[in-house]
Amino acid sequence: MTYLTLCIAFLAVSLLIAAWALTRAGRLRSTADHIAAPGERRAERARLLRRWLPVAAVGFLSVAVLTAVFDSLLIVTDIIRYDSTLISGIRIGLAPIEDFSYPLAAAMLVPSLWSLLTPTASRVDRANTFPEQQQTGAGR
Amino acid sequence: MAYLYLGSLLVASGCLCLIDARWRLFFWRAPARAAMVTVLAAWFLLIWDLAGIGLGIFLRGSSPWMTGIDLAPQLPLEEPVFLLFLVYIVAIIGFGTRRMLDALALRVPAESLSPGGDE
Repeated sequence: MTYLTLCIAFLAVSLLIAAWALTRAGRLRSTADHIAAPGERRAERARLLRRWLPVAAVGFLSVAVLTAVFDSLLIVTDIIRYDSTLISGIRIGLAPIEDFSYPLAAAMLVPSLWSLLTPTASRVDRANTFPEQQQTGAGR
Repeated sequence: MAYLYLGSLLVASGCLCLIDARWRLFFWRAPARAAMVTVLAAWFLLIWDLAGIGLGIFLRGSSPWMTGIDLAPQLPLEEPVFLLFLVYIVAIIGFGTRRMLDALALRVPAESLSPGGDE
């Protein structure tokens, strides 16, 4: 199995976890706000995605820049080596393109796990306590 | 110089802690949850690493800037520290971005926002 195939497999798992977190959060928020219509749940999921996508995107892009620089350093200083027959050979700086899937996975996992591990009680309390921040969440 | 890589990771992690403490973004906001998120995500990345090592993709280099301590074949002590650092920096940049966007939308200084409320 090549490095690229390995990365695609682990990225797929990360994406599934992110989808699970988004679905669960949308369902919980809908329940807290007493809206149950499927259309409104979909809208709630879309709202959550709009709210969290910039977080994941900025997290990934910033760390991708750092990866290009510091991964190259790790390779120059012989801290890590790759079997050249198993990597795609596409590089950014010296960093194999596959290495950028680590920050991409982390950017999906961190907000997802955070949401999945947020106790339901505090989520509902907060929804009632900070209505103005819910407004922000609507992305207007 | 055997501690240069490990030391750099720890110093950089310390810098992240300062930002975290100043803005209450992650460990300084919900310590138990942040710890669980960090350990779970780093554990996921470590399994990925071990799979790569098993497939013969990654090989440990012979840099003089590593401690030379191996936790498993081809897995230097520094690697799990690096993975924890990677998760932490993604969390700080991500949650910092969230806080700044919220402050911009409400037209208030980021300091004035409660650390909660961005679920």
